[in-house]
Amino acid sequence: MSNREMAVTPRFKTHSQVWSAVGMWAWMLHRLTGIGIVLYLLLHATLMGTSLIRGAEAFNATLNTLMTNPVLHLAEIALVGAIIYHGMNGIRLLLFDIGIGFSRQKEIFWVSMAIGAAMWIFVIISKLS
Amino acid sequence: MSSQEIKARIFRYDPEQDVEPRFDVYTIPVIKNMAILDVVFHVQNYIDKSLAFRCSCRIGMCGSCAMYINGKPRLACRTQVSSLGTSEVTIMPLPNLPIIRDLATDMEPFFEKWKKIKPYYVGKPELKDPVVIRPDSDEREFIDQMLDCITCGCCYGACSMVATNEDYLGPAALNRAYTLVADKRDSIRVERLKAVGRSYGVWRCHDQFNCAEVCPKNLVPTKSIQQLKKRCVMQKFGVFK
Ligand code: SF4
Ligand code: SF4
Ligand code: FES
Repeated sequence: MSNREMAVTPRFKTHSQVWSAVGMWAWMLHRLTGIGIVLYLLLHATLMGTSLIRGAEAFNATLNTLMTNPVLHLAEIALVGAIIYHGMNGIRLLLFDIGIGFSRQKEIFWVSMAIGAAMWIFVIISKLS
Repeated sequence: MSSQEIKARIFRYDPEQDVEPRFDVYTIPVIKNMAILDVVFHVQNYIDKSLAFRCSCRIGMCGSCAMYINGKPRLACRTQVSSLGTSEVTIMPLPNLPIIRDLATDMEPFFEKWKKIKPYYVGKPELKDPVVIRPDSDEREFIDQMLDCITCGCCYGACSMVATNEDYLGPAALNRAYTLVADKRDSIRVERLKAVGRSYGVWRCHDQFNCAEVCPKNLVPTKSIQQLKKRCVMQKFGVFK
């Protein structure tokens, strides 16, 4: 087969990823939490907006359903976790954007995660007590 | 050591004959200081002559033997079997590139992108050779390490942004672009900067660091890309000439 022909033949490619790398997971989680937070915001704005328009009673009724559902309380903890993760990793990314920390990216990741975990645990404890 | 064996699962695919790729498993005696390149040579010499792979220098200089070895793009010649810490090794072609046969990939897309950033120095016509930037001058930027790239494509195969966007220039080409943009004697720096300051250029990079994770020369293309991003912004504000 000539080079020319070879270049136009559709060929198999692999898209294997590097799953052993910290940066890979940091990026994946950043994407996932980002999408989750956007979906939450959309849902939040829609629910609040539509019930507010329907008047004070409808608004109170909606809030009541939301606030008494135990599953949603768990979801709220997850939401706080997602926001903390996205924020902490966001700070890590901002550091890179201003040119800091390229040789220490993994350490920066773990430090920001430790701070984030402490914040999250604090939120969980104060919510449960 | 010599009595030991390793099990090598090797990716096999001939686009002209096979409908689907497959894995062939070979059991190979381990010799002292055996590299993955020795493993595939053993298969080719003693078991199956048709195994295709690429190599040249065997000492980590030419950048032609990059393969996806146990979950990471690495140079086959610089990866010791003992360093993997297991007696099973899975060898696949470099990801994100078309496969010519078995472990040999077509580097054409990689070098097409390399060409796009004009990978050569273009001197300002008014400058008389030899022009020197003194090491202690303010004009001198730190690019020494970034010049070590051997165009092996490991970073290209590791980057998820390359995997998800065919047009993304990729870490190696952008790293090369930075070494030239940082050179004040170069006359097409702005043109080069405009070529990389696009959505399929530097702005595609999401600071994932997979490139730095796998680079056999320990380069951090992420850093070069950030330096380019900074200059793109400065150029928009007219501070970069
Ligand atoms: S930057 Fe590193 S991994 Fe990428 S092509 Fe150059 S040497 Fe290979
Ligand atoms: S840092 Fe940028 S170029 Fe390197 S692997 Fe990540 S996204 Fe790709
Ligand atoms: S054969 Fe040259 S880098 Fe491995």
